[in-house]
Amino acid sequence: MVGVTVLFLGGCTASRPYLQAYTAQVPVQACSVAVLPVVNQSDYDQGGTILHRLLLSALINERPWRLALEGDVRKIYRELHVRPWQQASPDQLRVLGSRLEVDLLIGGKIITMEEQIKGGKFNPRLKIELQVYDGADGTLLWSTYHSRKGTDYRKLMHFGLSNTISELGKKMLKEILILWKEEGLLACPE
Amino acid sequence: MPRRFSCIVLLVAATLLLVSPAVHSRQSRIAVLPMEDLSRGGNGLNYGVTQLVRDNLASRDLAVLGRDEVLAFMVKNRVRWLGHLGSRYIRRLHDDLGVDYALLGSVNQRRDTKPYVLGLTLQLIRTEDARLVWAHSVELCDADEIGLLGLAGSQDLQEMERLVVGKALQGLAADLRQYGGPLDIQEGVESVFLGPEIVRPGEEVSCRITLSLSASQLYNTTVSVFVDERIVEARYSSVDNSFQAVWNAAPADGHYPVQVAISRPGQLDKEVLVGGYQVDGLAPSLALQVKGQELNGVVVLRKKIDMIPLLKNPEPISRWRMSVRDEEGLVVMGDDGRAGLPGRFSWWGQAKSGALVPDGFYTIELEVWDRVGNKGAARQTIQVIRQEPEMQVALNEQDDKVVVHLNYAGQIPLDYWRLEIRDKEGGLISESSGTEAPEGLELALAAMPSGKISYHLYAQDMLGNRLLRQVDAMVPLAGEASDEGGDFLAEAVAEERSKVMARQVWTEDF
Repeated sequence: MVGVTVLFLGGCTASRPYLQAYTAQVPVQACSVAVLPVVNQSDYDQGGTILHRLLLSALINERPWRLALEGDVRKIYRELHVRPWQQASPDQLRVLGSRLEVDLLIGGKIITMEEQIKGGKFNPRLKIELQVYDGADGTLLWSTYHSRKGTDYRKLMHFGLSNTISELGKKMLKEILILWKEEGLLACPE
Repeated sequence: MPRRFSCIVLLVAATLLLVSPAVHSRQSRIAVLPMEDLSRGGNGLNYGVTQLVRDNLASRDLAVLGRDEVLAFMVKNRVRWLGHLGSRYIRRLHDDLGVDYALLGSVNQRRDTKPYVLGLTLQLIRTEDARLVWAHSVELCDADEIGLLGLAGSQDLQEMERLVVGKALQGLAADLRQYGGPLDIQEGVESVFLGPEIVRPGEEVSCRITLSLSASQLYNTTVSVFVDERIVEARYSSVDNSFQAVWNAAPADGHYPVQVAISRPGQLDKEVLVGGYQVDGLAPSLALQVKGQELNGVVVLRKKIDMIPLLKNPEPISRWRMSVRDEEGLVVMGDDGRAGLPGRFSWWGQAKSGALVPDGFYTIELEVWDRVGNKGAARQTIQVIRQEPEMQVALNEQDDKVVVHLNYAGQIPLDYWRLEIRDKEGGLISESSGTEAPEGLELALAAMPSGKISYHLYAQDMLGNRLLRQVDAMVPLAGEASDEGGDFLAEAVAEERSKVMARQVWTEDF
């Protein structure tokens, strides 16, 4: 019983995303978004693309944004000679915002992405940072750091565990979007 | 009108009314693009999941574009990547193939051994306005399927693929038109080629712009480029339906943003920032730091020297050239390279042939060119000195003693010297050492043994050049007959068999 209680509490004490705002005033309108290629600093192959696609999926399920297509973003990256694993410069961010005609640009960075498999059990770990830029001038508006393990979501015994990096990423992105909404950062007047 | 005929007309009209909604709301036509498999690296293909998605959609009220048609489209448009498409291609799917929706996806994770893992993301794009309208991600792991009783899920990977595809498409509405809201066709810049990225002042810069407009919309459209407080009119080319503006770069160094203005009759002008270019007219400011011992303010090479190039204002370098010239200006050694400037150069005092260069003064010159060809250079003079310290030993008999004179006429200060005088058996008679050449060493002749003596002289200058000399003097000392007669010591010196040992020869380091 004590063990179950500890496990239960363990599931409840997982950390929230950490949000750092860089401006006192967020854009009034955030109706269109472009997700930039995610910089992958981990050794996980294709981790950046996985997180990019999960983020697109999480955003479109949040509300009917006008989301720039990944293909369009990549094309502008090519034209600007920015590699997908590079962070775009402020000048390049301004071009991206203007070309894609979006209110916000979301960039991401994977600090840690790993999947440990022990005795047939997975324990994925993910540390990510998302940066949100103003699409009009490329200034950094806010960034969010989030770190989680698959076991952080344990509810009881093995229930609730996140066994894959994709599932863990999906849950973490959902938590980040909830936080952004709570902070009123994703407002789009109808 | 006969009554029977009017009945037929009414019947036909009623039938048309009943049928017409179905006729107008034709099936949505959907193209399933091949699914990217990220578990197989960049641009991996998962044919099995693609087919499962196609089969699933075909079972609905959707017209799924044939696989061969999709592949033909990709070949025709040279689409060599999977998992994403730009709006240009999405619109072509609509215009060329009459496709209403494109379904793209990627297998994010796939593990084909126990415990199986499969992650899938699907994206639905409305082709008319190239808008992402729906997306869903599903992940499944064997471990997720463990039930309350601890029984593992029974599926193999193929079963898991069917399960994941089913779950992913479960949430997709039967009528796709409910997604995405009203049409929002973005008309703007489709592609831009702006170049070169970096130029010298006054050099030509061009910008080719393709708009996402049909040929009829392009009619009467004007495109202008705003740069450096100038407006440059872009000319339309019907060859590739693009607009091209050409101008000369500004005279001052700096970064110049380029903005494009699109004017269409009856439409608001549109301004789009498309990029920028850099003007660089300054030569790279370069310094060459030579590491080594200095003599009279000049770095001296004995074995090797290290040279560290320093760019005072760091910038990318397109190529570099390092050369070593002798006093006559001839290049004795050189090296060159492209792109990155090495952090350090080392020269071992060898010519191109590998042979050591003679002692003397040499000029090391490093030239660098930046991305636009501005050239910067730095020079340093060094001196090569490998000559060993030249020391002469003179022995003079004065009264009852032998005076040993060490003479050093070299320019390089001595670090130390050591002289050992030994008898014919090698026994040490006398030893002296110091850091400066002595005026004269006096040795008591009475203390000298009969027979031959020899001396060993060791010296090293401050550059590290060494002298190791062993002289078997074979001196017939006083009281013994001398074949040559005269000043036996002077004769002995004249006859000395000098054996200067090369530095490379093993010897005890002293």
